[in-house]
Amino acid sequence: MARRILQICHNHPRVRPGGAEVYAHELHRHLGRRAEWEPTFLARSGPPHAPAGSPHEGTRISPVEGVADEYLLYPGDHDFDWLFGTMRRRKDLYTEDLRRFLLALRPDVVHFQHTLFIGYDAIREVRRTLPEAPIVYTLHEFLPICHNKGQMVRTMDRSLCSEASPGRCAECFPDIAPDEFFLRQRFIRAQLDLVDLFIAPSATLRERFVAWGIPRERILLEDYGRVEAPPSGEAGRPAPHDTLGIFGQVNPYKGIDVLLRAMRALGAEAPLLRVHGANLDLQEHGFREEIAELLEAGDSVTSLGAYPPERAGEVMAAVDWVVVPSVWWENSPLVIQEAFAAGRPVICSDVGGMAEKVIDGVNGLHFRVGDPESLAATIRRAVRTPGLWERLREGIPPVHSIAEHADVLTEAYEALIAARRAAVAA
Amino acid sequence: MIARAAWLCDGVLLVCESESGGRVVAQPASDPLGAEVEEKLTDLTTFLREGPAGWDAAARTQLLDYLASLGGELGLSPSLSEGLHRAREALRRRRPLSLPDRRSGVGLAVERLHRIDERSFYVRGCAWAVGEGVAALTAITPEGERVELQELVSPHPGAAGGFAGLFETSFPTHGAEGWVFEAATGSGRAVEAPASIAPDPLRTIFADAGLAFAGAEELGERHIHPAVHRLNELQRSRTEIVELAGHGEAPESPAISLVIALQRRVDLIEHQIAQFAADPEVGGCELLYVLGEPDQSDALQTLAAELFALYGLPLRLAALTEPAGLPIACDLGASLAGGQRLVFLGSDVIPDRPGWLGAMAAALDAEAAVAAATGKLLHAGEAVDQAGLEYAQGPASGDGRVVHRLRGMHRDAAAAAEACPVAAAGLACLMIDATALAAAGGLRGEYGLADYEGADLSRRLAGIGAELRYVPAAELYRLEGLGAEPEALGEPYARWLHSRFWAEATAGVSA
Repeated sequence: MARRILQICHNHPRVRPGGAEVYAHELHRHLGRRAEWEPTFLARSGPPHAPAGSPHEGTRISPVEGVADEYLLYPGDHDFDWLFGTMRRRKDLYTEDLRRFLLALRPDVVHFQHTLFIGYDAIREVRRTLPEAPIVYTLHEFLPICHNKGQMVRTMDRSLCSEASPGRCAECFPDIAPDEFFLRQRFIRAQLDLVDLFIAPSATLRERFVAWGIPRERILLEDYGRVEAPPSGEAGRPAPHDTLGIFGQVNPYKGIDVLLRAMRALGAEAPLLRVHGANLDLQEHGFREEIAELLEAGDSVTSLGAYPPERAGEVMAAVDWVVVPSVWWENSPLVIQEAFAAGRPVICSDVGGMAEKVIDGVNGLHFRVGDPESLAATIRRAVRTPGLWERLREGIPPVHSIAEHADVLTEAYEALIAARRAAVAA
Repeated sequence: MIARAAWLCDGVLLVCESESGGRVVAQPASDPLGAEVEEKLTDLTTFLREGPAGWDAAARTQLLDYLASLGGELGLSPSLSEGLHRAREALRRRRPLSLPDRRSGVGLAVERLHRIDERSFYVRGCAWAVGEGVAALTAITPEGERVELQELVSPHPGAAGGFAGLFETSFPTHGAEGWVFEAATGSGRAVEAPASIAPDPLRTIFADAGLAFAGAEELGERHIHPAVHRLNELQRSRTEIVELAGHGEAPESPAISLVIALQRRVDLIEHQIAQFAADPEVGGCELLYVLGEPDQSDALQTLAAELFALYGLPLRLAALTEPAGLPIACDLGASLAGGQRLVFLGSDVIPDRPGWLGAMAAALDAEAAVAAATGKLLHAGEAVDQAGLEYAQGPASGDGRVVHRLRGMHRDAAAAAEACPVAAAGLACLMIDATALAAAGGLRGEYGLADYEGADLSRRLAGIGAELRYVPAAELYRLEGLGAEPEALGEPYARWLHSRFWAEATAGVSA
């Protein structure tokens, strides 16, 4: 008999195709094709990603139109508290709506892919309502640790932050008292302490959470698995290898401004750059203006907009190099897996999950994070060095498939189910 | 024979028995009035203008004194108060308004006037007279009663000729507006200054209590302490505790009751419960939250019900009927608690880890003489906030000041790791045997500040031979930066009051 697994996510990729939700949805679809699992996907909907309001009076949960095993959660009139990651002063979203859903579904495992805009309290509700169901939580960034959108980047100068503490966090947010940050950490930890297993897609992320206080043995280091990329046409490309591409979300932490400044610094030497960026419209006005100005100034820059996940192989086949210039640590960027799946070496910042997943000189090149001059020099080296592109292509590792990933998770789920049932019985 | 009659207010009739001088009497209206009264009935303005307004000053003053007494005799209704005020304004002798210029001869300024209760008031101001002293200082109530203040008030150092003090009227007075103060010299020069009742008397009184000057002791003993005492008594008499709700099944005959007063930040209940939920010792206790600000009771009831649904931790919820300070909330909360031992805990205090309750209880179990225990309270930065309380001595810190023991030391400092008796403990974290609390007389509720209230209780415990222990294994964070408690006013007064009660006793237990 198939086991029931519920994945809970902060967003549905149909609404906004962010990396974490794309991966989570791919995993859901894959599990649905395996005999041992009967999966359900619950994604939060509503502002800022979608219109507010549940389609049906009297419930905040409704199925995704035309899909039997996917649901949307509409917190609606609840007020999400960004600092504490909870619904301010109201808990009926958990104790009524989510509880009813859990009791109707009775999953054997609940896997949180994210709690943003839902609240950490949802973990508590699962534990309270389904004491036998193990809780798994995938860490996608540092949000439990860092109030600055989980980036661990200092607000005053965008420098990288290596340690959260009440005093340091209050330096980033002078309007919030250090004691509030202390309380934040305690509150979030109180909820995360109920999680049976965390999944960390990168060692960078795992070590940060271990330092934050989560026991190492409760964190499984397991990278995202990806659906086999569709054929991308001619995987190889003739020289010269002078076309760059940047893919994915456009926000102040993804470093597109660093890349565009590097292109400006290269002047007439600048190679072609294809920009496939998403969600710029969600960013603050000042940032949008800055990016628009930089895009207009670059003669060799072509802005092509977002792409659907299933076309990743195709759009990447049109470039020689994939640039990942993020100015935050990153976790395990899906774009790196997509680049490798398409046979494209990666030029990336020399920190965090990027430096961990791309080996400098083996399957890509590193540059000094946040430094346009360093990136310009690296680009110049990449496009001018004969044979470098081919050599780096040969160093690209096979991409962790969603099937391999699901095998690992299945083994972990089964062990957790047994352990949890034994613990409850005892 | 009746010259004229008029309604002073609803139900009180003024009757003038003679056209010239003579007598005015007030009488409850009879029904019917009688033909003679009906015939002579006029409106109050005409009554006063055509009659008493033409009398000599002495006769008018005598009449005003009589009228002012009516509030006591007949009961001061708002309409009677208004009628008396109209009469006062028609008949009183007006003095020139005081000018702020001190070269103007005689002057008077009322800086603050506060109501303490129906007949008690606290005033602060200054009066001066160039070339001679002020011989008379008089307060005139809106209803016309005159109270001579010159011998009542004490000097105040705020300005030359400054005065401050508590005074009483003989009769009740309602109005917030319409007060008049007069200053007069021996040679007959006089001025007047209007005044009205200002809110928040404690802010003024506590500020005066913090002044260092030669007359401070007299001001404190004669005026400040009686004023604060009356305010507290009034507050206490008005304040009751009502149970709002109980969620879940609290243990029968609990060994320990946690009494937590919620003041401004009622949302902190969620954060405490998030921590308590992982603490099996708390699960075995009675958990009682006392809301000190009743206007938040609806929101809190909803939140508490949902928190119980989410966390499953049984709790009781009570609220005060009037906003009151933390000590009163704790004291009234204790009256509802059923535990053999009580733990007063601040709403901004969260335990570092489970085991703190057991550690403190073990200290009480270990020795019969130990009736109370406190833990190690920490700041978020791992510095000690307090390891019990002690008394500071010396000019820098102020004699007898209650200070946090080991404040600023690291939590792992050797001194902070040593269990020991301490002089006192505050209400941020105090486990106390319920019988000992009752024997000591509960919390006094006069200090306003939880540390002094706790110190006072500690002294009374010592008085009955009960000991207080510091338990370093009980580690909790006290997050004072959350703004959970209202602004702390009145440390100088609290220190003065504590010294007044305990100067001799604290000399032996000072740091």
